[in-house]
Amino acid sequence: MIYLDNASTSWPKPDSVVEAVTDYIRNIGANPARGNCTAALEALGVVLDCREAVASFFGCGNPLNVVFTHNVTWAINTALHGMLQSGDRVISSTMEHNAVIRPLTNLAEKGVDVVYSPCDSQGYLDLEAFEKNISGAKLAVLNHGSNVTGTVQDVRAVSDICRASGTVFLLDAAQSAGIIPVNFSHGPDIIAFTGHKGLLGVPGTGGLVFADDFDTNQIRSLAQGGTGSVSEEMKHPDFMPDRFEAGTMNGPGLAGLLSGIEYLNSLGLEEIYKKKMKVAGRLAEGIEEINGSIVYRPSPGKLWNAVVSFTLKGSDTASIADYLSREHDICCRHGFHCASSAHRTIGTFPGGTVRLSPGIFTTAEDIEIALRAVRMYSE
Amino acid sequence: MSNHIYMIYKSMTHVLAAERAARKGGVSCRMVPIPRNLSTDCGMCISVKEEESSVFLSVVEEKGLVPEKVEEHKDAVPAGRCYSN
Repeated sequence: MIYLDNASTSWPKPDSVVEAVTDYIRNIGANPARGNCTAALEALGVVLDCREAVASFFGCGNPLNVVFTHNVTWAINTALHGMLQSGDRVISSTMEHNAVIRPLTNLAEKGVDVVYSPCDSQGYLDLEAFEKNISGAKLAVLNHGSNVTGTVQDVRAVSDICRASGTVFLLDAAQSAGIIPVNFSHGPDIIAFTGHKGLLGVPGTGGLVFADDFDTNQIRSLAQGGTGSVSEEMKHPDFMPDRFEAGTMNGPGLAGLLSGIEYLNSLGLEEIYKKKMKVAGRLAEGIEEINGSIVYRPSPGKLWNAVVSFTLKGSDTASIADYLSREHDICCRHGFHCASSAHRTIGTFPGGTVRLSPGIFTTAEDIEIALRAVRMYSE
Repeated sequence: MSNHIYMIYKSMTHVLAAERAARKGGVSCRMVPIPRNLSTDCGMCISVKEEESSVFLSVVEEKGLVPEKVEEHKDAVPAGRCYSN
């Protein structure tokens, strides 16, 4: 199998990640922050190690400002539903994933004023329009790296606009974390992340990280329950991180996420980016050489998320994906990639695109096999 | 025998984070279950020798990990285990 769907979930995982998950299940086992036995403390230690690793990775000074959730969708929902209510205004962009669009649609039905600021055909946010539209917005939520085109937004510029208007800035780093730098030094107030894509952990992990100066009391908790703390209270704790962490944590998953981040740190993000650019660049250029092809990506030289989305003139994207899978055992994704708004923005609605997303372990040989397969289909 | 001071926190996460900060700061301490007469919480707290308690408090304060309550414990070394990484 040639796996080119790393934008969905990264695979394979580093051996160290598999070992960390297995070790937790085999040898630790207990429930973090529940009880005082050695295993429970060791489990809590893994979770705290993971908080520290995540905080450090995103440039957050306080590990207790890291909240773990089931995935990035749950993290984004926590921030959006926890912060917004009828009469509030929120601004976003037309390049968002359904993880943002759907909760915003739900909130709009409840009386929240939702504004989608325009992006150009490469997916870049029109900053002038954004600056005009942001007036009165309580919250801005923006996709950092597109899962459709790999376009990377200018976080610093957006942060500056948000600060000037007193708007909280939530950055969706689902597709960027682990590939390009995502850091509070660039200005966001909240970063939503997933553990199982670029951070190389396993599904079932993700979360929110809050800037050191952000007041988390602005966000209501969506779920309440056991936390292993202040158990005598009927009311859910309001302190961090328990405020947003009801119920048993995903200990094995967080052990894997910790290991994934350690693996990334050992390689260095710059090296990872160079490696991904090499394989994704070759893949994009190779497809662009095929007659009738269009690759939807930022101009060469701009930051890019290593996502190769393309169409072939006169071909159904479902048919291309079916051929690649059936005839060549190539894993890819076709259609809208849960981001139909982004496809409307770049002009690929309703047909969508075929998306090939190389990962950290994708080889030059994998890319040549994939290119050969796409060429064969086009002929 | 020294008296010990119990440093009581809001959650186990805070306890472990404070214990790590103290150890890094060279303060010896141990995590012990919170005596029920001090708190009905089911978790743990940190026991520090009285003579080291002011250093402990200054080290953890730097990390924003000030205990919710500080209680004197007049017994000898309390039951409990050291947690190490």
